[in-house]
Amino acid sequence: MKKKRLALLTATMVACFSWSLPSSAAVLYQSGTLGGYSVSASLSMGSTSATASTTSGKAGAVVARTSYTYGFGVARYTVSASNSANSTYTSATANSNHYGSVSISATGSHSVSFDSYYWSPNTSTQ
Amino acid sequence: MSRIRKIITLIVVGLILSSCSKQVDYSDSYQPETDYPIRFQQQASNTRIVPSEAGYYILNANYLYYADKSSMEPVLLDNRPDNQCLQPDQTDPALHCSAYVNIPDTYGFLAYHKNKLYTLENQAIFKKDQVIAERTHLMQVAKDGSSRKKMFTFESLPVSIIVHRGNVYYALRDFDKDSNLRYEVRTFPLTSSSPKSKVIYKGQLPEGSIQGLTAYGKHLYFTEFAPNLTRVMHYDIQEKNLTRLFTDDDSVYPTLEDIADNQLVFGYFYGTLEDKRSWVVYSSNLDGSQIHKLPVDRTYLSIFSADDRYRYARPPWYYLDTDPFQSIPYEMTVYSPQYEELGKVDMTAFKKDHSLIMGDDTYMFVRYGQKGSQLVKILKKTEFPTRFPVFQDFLETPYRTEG
Repeated sequence: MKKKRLALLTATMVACFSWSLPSSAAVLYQSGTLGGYSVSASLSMGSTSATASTTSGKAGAVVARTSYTYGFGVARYTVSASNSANSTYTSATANSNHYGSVSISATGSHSVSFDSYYWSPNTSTQ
Repeated sequence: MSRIRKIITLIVVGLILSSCSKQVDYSDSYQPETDYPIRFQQQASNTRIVPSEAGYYILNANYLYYADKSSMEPVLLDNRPDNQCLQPDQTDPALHCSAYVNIPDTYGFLAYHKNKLYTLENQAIFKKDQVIAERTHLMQVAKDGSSRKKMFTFESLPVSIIVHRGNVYYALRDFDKDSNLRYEVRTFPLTSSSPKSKVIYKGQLPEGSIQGLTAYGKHLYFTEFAPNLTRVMHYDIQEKNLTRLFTDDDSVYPTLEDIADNQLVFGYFYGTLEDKRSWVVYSSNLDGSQIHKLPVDRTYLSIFSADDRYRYARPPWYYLDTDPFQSIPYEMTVYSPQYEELGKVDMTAFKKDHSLIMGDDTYMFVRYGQKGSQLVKILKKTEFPTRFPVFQDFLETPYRTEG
């Protein structure tokens, strides 16, 4: 059963999905078509937080997770947040815990699944 | 000898042997075969470069590599001529590349313990063709990448993890079904056939987190933090007791920076860059007792680190774009163990996010992301203190834009 799902996933991705990859920049946004529906993933970083968002054109299991790293004094701190929903949209925001901190970087991991389709893009400020 | 007597003799010998093999090392000296490789730690992150007998294993942007110390040529842990590693259009890399590790980059982890390699791996759990959950496993990886063995399934994705003297220590942070925050440090024996983890610290702070698990000798250290609060904690593995280190004052932010000469190296941050008390660095015994100021005067806030031969200080690079640090060059000062200044390494190439790994007597490493790739550069330290070279190219791996 697991092999069948993996094969199905591979076929699905090759046949139905495409996206544009910035070749020399941070990947803050990804989008494409999954099973005929639009899907997208985005990441933003502000001065004290980072937010990952996941959107699907068809309701299904949507997940957004972000890890946000900031500097405070001589220490770096990494905080994370995640959210999931059986819906068309979810987002997760990780906030700095220290007043006066400096944003360093953020990563996002996202997933959308419905019917037999599955998409799990990554986003990053690097 | 009767058959029963032979069986009894075998059982007694077996019991003696098993009790010998379980003898626990509580010494405060570094054992390279079994100990957490403290010189390869990365602040606020798990180890991804670990030393072995003859080289280094590296986890870079989800791919495992090995580099022999003599050649320093990193090779993927997939020696099949038809492997499909690093192909951007490969939609299922786990099937076609034995070097691929499915884990979000932030949580990547590598350990080398008693001649065996370990990593973390995520697995999607499907139900009715939907992903309903993810499970994170500790995997033992064959040193040529050809096979993997599941050792343990975590309660949730560990936010910090180390392997030290036969035990895995890890920190979790998640929410129960009633949305109550749980964060804690747990441990389990690495070689147990059916390991069960136990809690050694349960955090109580609102919105609290744990990061930076570190171990040396019989000591485990970690940082607990919450809104406008930082604590450095110490767990005595032998005595099984927990203490808070350096201060009980929550208005001060202590940072354990490194361990050198069986001493903790640490500082206090008082909230502002201009506060000269934050520029001072201290040492203490491994249990936090006997605090002394180190004999080094810095004229600004500095990150201190160490290897077995030298001590290092550099400004926190993420402040170098802001006042009052704008005029300070990004240089790493190299000191003798007695803090005599020996020279400086130019670090201006790394003024964006990067992690410095002090390494062994030969190589220092720096990891960073740039233009969609993760890079590792190396600095050969054998020319210290007569020459202080710059970092050289070592490894570049494109990030996968899909997990």
